[in-house]
Amino acid sequence: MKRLAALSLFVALPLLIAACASTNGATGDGGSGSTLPTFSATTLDGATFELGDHLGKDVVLISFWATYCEPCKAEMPIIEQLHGRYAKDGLKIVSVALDGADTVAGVRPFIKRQRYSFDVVVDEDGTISQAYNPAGTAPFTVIIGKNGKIAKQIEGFQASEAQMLENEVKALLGLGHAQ
Amino acid sequence: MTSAPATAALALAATLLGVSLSPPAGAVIPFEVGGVKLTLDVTESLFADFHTSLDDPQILDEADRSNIFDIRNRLNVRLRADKLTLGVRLDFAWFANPPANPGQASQYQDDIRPEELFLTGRFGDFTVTLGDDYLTFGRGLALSLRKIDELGFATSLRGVHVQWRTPRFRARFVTGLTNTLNVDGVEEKLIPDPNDVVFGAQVEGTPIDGLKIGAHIVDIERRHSGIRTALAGALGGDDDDRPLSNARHVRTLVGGGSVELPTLGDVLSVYAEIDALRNEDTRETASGRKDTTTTGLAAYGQVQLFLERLTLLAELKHYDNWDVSSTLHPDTAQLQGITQTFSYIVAPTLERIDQRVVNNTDVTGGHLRVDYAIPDSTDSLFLSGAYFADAPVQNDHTIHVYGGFEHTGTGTDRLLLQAGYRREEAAELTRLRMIHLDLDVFALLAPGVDMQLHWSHEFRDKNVGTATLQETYLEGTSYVSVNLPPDWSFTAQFEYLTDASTDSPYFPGAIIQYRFTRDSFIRLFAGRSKGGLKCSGGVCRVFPSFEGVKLESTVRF
Repeated sequence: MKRLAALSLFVALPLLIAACASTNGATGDGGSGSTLPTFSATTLDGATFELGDHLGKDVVLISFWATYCEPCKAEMPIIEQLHGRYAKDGLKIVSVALDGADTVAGVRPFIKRQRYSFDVVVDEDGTISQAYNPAGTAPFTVIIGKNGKIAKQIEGFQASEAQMLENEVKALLGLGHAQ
Repeated sequence: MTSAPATAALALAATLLGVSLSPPAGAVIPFEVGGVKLTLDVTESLFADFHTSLDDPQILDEADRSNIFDIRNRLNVRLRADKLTLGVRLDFAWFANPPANPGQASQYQDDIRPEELFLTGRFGDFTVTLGDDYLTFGRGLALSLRKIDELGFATSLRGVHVQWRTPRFRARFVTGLTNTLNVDGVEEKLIPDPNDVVFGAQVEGTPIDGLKIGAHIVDIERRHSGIRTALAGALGGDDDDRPLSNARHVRTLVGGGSVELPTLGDVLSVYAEIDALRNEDTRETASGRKDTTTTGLAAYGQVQLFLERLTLLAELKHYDNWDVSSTLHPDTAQLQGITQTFSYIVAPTLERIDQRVVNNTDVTGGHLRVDYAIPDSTDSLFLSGAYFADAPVQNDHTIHVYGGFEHTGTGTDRLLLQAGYRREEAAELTRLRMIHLDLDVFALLAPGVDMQLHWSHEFRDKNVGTATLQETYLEGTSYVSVNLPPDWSFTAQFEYLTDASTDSPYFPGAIIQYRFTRDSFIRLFAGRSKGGLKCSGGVCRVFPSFEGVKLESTVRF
């Protein structure tokens, strides 16, 4: 009986949310046309990163990592290169540290030491992961196009794919074609 | 695998796998209902384990724990519309031939339930979540409900979370019941939710640029508190009044505050937090129930200094009776012998992430790490030292020193080499003497061929100075992966543990992974992996060893 109730709930709730959304009446997010969830977080520099400011305007790359994740650290120079080359063309990168309370003290020293210049925020509650990386994987990359829709999700890091990633970003920026 | 249940299990696994491997429709699925734009985001994860021998000492007969096949499935769905997100994670566990434990209730049970269920809306500066949510106050000393994937733990708060956030101010209020991952991938036993009632409030403000102050309070109403008992009827029961070991845990109150200077002149960063707790219990004595109250104190401080080539991180901690964990469930504790509780905090350990820290509740210590960036390169050297008093037990002390070299290339290569020494000293003996070596390498071997190598090795001496308990042994984990992007990855794994309690000290294994898209994969492991105490961020868990075949598939639509 409990299983039946659980399954019924599982089927009914998506319908309920659709109904709620219709009742709400509003569409879009500040005119961006994106239905993706927004979040607000404080960067290591003390500034506020507001995803909603970029959805539907910029190409947004959300990169999940952690100080204890070696593949993540291997990937970061590539993220920095993308930031250096394409920020002026409308690429917005936000690096989301998944570090919990025990390791978060190491986030700022690592970023400072490597002199990375993209925005870094800490997902202190796990809410950003809940929205964009429910499995909590690292490294995990989400790329959102200028149309405010998720264009690509990439699990893991493989050095050979750096060029492919750059081509995809260029294509979304309208600077070239994905290969 | 010749039994009918096993055959049925394989058929079910093949069906689920077939569903998993059907071509994904794309990153997300957009559609419209009544003119409202919606997107559907689905992540489907399947885990199928075949244990040639299940490592569970509670099951005495070898035949009862041989050739166990089980499936766990997680279906994660996010439905988004405008300012609202609905999240559901449906968990499913099924045992083809659950291990029997004669005379005991089976702890391995089929199960299906919405493990996560939430509706989040963001309205201007307000964010409201109904249902399951994860949260941390400060540095996790007062409350930290998060997923700890490495240990298979995930505890959420199922209730209401309201947050008001502006650039200079944040306030939030939470209340709900604690909801744990009921069937995890480590022990695979069905654990009931603790269902402790939690009330929490936090405020953070930036009164002037560069200064952030905060305060928080947490009230955990336990199984035998008046509030929890009063709510039991409305919450569907679970108001059991049986004491455990004559003790009833009533309430835990935690309060504290923090001060942060995130960036002083771009060279200094400071954080400090202090918290106090009060535990209220009652005990049954010969003269009736007797109320008892205990208190605790936690202080944590951190200083970061950034100079031209030097980066310095200093941390201090002092914890006195600092334990905030879930209530032990009487049903499982008394009938099934499951005594697992779940920590509601993650107090900084100041240790390496995977260090076995058996005491982080009554300890004082400090940690200093210095990194030096080598000129004209992307390389650095680092040295780290830590000292802890009353660790691992009262009147003991622990030192740990390690250092190493870190090379970060341009995205095609990375190397981390470190070595260290740890000593846990008691009055009459040395509890542990350990030398550890760690190596991580990423390299592009050739165009289209990546390599990843990991090796961690420990020389360990336990109970040095005792005639009968002294033991010298080795422990380590190594693997090498060759990736042929975008599809294939091959990994050879070798673990070892040569202590006296391990019958067969070597644990070989192999992994094949196939990515059918960049975000979806299927992975097959065959072999053995060692068990033992594993820790992450100060939270520890005893893992059973594994022997058999594991299949894992994750598909994102």
